[in-house]
Amino acid sequence: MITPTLKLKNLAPALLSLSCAFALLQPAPAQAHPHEFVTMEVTAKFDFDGNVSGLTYNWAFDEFFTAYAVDGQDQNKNGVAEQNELNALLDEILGNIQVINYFTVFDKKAAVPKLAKAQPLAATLKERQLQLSFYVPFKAAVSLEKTPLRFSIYDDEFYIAMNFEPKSYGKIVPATIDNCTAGVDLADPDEDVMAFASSLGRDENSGGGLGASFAEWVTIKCN
Amino acid sequence: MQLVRNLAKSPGLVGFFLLALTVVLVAGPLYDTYVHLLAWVYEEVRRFHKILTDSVSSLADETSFATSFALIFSSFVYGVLHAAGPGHGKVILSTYLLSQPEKIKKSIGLAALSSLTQGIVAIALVYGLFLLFGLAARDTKIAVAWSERLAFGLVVLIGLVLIWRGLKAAYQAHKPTSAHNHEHDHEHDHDHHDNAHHGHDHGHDHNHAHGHHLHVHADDAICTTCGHAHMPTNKQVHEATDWRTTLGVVLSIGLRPCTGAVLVLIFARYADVAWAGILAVLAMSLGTAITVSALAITSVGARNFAMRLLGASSTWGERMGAYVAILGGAVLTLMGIGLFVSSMAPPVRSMGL
Repeated sequence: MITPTLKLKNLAPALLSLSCAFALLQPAPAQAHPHEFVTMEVTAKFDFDGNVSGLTYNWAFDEFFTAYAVDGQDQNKNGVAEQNELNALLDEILGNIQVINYFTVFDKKAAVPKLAKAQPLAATLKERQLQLSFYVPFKAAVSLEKTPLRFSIYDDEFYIAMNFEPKSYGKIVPATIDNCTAGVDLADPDEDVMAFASSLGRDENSGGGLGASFAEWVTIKCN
Repeated sequence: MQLVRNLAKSPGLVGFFLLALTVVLVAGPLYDTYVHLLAWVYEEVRRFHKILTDSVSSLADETSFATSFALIFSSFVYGVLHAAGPGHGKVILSTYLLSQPEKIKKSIGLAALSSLTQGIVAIALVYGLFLLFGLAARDTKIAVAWSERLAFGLVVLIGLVLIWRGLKAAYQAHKPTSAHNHEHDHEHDHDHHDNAHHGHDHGHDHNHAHGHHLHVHADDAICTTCGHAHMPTNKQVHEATDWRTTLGVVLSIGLRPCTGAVLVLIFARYADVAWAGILAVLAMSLGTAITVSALAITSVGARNFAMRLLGASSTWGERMGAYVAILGGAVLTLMGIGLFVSSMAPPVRSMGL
């Protein structure tokens, strides 16, 4: 009488198939992170004393997000995005992202302003891309005499990739301000981090913090 | 000499070590390649996005053979490449094919059918619901979420079916009466029928009679069409559960529409070329089907290779087949539960929309 026992010989195939299963059991995305793309321009606003009093944001969304967002905004269902519908969309988005400081993060080692409520500037459609502009005033203007201002605008989840338009770097500090300069540090993520991002599906959560690896940082220095 | 004799008695043991060695040698480089591939996907994903939207846009601006072809072609390529990444459908299909004896032809059918279903489900969810209820893109998300939950429920069900089959097979393989006679019969008949029937030996038929084997064990890997005419009831039962499992596999994959497809459909409707969206999605499905078929063939091949090393109809092979089925089932059950639970979380609301 041979009885099934837990010998290594019996377990080995199980272990082998388990290792195969692990190799297969990778995260299951519908499509890799990021899923949406925002191309940004940002301009610092200087007050009469030469302090920074706020930031002007100019975001261009990719066509897919545009279709998704504008379609839902077509309240009279006539298939055309009217100006009032686009304005309502801008208001809705600003209301939604106020709680996360409009994706803006300030470097704590430099000047750290507090953000007030955003003011909508413009919502337009250009070549099937949604473009939103808004101004976010600081609760108190910050002086850059002693410390620079260093900030980034990114989605912590990295669901949305947010990058500065390279041609707009020159607009970060207005031309009228001649004692200040701005620079942008690009992200240099590891291959592993990129692979992890790629392995995440639309309905999957990166657990937060992933966006920081892809964040571009703006530094404004004055002398 | 004793050792050699022992080894000769259980060719599965030698086979197992060879197989383990293969896995160890292949796993490392495979993983590295995988990381490189994903990093590459990261860098290319934006470009794919751009190419797709641009081709829909140019078609919307000017409908011609060239712009239509460009869209269909880029969608097809997107389908091929996109399917190369990891995905829940690929886990289901490869686990199923690694743990169940299926033929190459059927595995390709499964891959193609599930890819096509995925495309059709996307079209039905985005355009069907819009036509029927005027649902906007944002509301489609809820319908997609429910369709996905259904798919995940099916994944759990398939997992349980595989576990059940595996347990039955394991019970048969461990049955004391069958163990010795079985190996002996196999060795004997193998020489005669080696080439004619894909390595299948008719000895099995006799074994079934002697050992009271059910048709759920790994022997079927070698030949799924062998004539079990003398046991019609079992065969019928097996076939009846088989098409249900097949349907389950296809739907568990297909009911989770590919995000790229949903986006192209939404964008095409937005650009007033909804028909182009349908064409693009069908081209995508075709591309996906090709990649997934390659995976299916690899899975069936890997299973057959492993079974040959282990000696498929040895007790060892039978047990291996049973364990793989149980583990594959467990993997799918756990994955299904995980996906189902996480699908209950509120959907991602980009920009809060």
